[in-house]
Amino acid sequence: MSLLDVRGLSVGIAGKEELLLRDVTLSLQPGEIQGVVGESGSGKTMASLALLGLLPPSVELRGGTAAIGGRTVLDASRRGVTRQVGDLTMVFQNPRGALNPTMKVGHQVRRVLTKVRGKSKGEATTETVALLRRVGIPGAERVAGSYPHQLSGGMCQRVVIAMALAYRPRVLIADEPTTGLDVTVQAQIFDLLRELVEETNCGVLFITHDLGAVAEMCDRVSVLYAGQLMETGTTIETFEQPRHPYTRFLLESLSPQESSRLTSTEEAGVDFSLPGCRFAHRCAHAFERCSDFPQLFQAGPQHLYSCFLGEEEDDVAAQRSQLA
Amino acid sequence: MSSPVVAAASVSRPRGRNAQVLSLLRRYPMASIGVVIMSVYALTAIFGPLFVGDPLSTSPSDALAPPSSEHYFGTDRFGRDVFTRAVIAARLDVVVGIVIALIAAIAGSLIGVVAGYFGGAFDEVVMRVTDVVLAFPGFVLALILVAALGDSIPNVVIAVAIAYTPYFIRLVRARALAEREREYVDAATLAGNGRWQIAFRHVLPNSLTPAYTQAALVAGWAVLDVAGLAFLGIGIQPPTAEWGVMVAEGANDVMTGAWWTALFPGALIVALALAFQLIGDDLQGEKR
Repeated sequence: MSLLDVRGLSVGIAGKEELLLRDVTLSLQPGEIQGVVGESGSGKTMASLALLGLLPPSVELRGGTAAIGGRTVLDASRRGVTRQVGDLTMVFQNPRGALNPTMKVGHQVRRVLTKVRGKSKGEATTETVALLRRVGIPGAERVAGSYPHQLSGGMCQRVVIAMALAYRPRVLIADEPTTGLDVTVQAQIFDLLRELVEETNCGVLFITHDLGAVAEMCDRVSVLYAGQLMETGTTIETFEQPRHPYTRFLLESLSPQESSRLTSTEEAGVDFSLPGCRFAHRCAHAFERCSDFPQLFQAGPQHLYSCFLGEEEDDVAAQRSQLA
Repeated sequence: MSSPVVAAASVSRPRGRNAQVLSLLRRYPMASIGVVIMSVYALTAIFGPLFVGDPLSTSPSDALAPPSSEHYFGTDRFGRDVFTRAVIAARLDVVVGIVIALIAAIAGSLIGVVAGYFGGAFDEVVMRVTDVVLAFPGFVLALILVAALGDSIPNVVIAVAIAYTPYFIRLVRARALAEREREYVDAATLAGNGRWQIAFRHVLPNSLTPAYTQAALVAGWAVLDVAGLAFLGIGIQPPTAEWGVMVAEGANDVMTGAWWTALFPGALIVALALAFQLIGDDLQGEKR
């Protein structure tokens, strides 16, 4: 059984037809790091906020369920399903913003230990320093007594990771945890995340638009576009044999020789109220069936994609093999 | 562990005390002047009463004596020493100004953060009430309230504080509205904090910056208001040694040439209000 199981998650702007997330399905195994990639505005952050129950008031849950370890934590048809403290936490995009500017960082880590893990004050104080040392902060005692503005961005992100370590979540959502950090720090943060997974066997949803980072870090990857899950599979399968035209575009955009430049989503614009495939209007292979919403097709035991084209290709391939 | 990353990430070290004072002077020149004036008032308020006599002792033979080495500020029509009364009054006026600012700031911030963070019906009601209160000029409102509550120092303090509370409610509420959207609030929610804990432990401390500078300004205005009310014969009553009362009493004698009875306490009010204003203005100019 998977650790995190999200089915048919749909999220929309209150009072409007448009769906910001449409029928998103994700599953995460214990000890797995899963990349969630997509352009800005593809719904990566929205999906995590929905899971955490932190959607802004203007956005509402339209459908879907989520379960952690078999226990429902989110159900659009039943309001008030609550997650247990300790199930799920998030490493936010902006480390400075994720720390309270008027509270010493040590105190912030300590509060997680006392609130979530029920530690006594004394234990928590000792463990706070140990955690800060763990994440590679030199002079941990001194840093514990500092305010966030006295620390660099990299230091702040380490503190945030220390808070996640203190939390010991079953599922950790890391929302672009290394944006704005330089490469060396980035590598250290990746190592820390890996250590966290090895140590606690938690699952990590690693949200990013850095495909390089995904290749380096992730066991599996899910590709989102305009709130629609395009493709999901093991990183190797997905990157080497992408089944969805969008995934191919995304991968091609990495190679410098590629001449056909993909216009950005902002330039192209996305109509979130269209019933069909969200990518159809930009897809070179679009055909009449694309005005329907494509369900997930199976390409392998763990490899799913949301495109009618694959089916056609399979048909063509089948016909060819019959002819041969 | 001596990689460049670690070096760049080290905590900033506190500088020497003198250097800190100098840089503060450079950053806040006006506030520094205000602080110097304030310190003179504070010292007078604390230690002044030890050096002067009874502010109420009259000496009819000395009535309306001009300033001299014996009576620095002269005497009033009852022969009371104006300097003695002015020094005694410092404690009352300074304390009243600061206490009013504190009450208004604390009450306003607490109401403001609840209104801003929780929103909803409470927010709606609070905003409409502040609209009503702000529709009155603060001085006039305080005047009405003291008239209703009765003349006493605590009533004056409460009345003026009520008149200024809406300023703090609005400032802190506006800031809380912005702060509640920040990520650390979400992080605190995930860490199992309740809504009230988030409102008071996380959002409130981060919403107070504008209230600090406002408090300095309000303290100055409050001194003016209290003295103004006393001048009108409302609130603090003669023969209490209070600058507004002294100005009111002395005003009658100015016509006969005894300018000192009203001028000195009046100047003291102005200088104190100015000091608060300088501090508040300079800090506000620095911006949140």
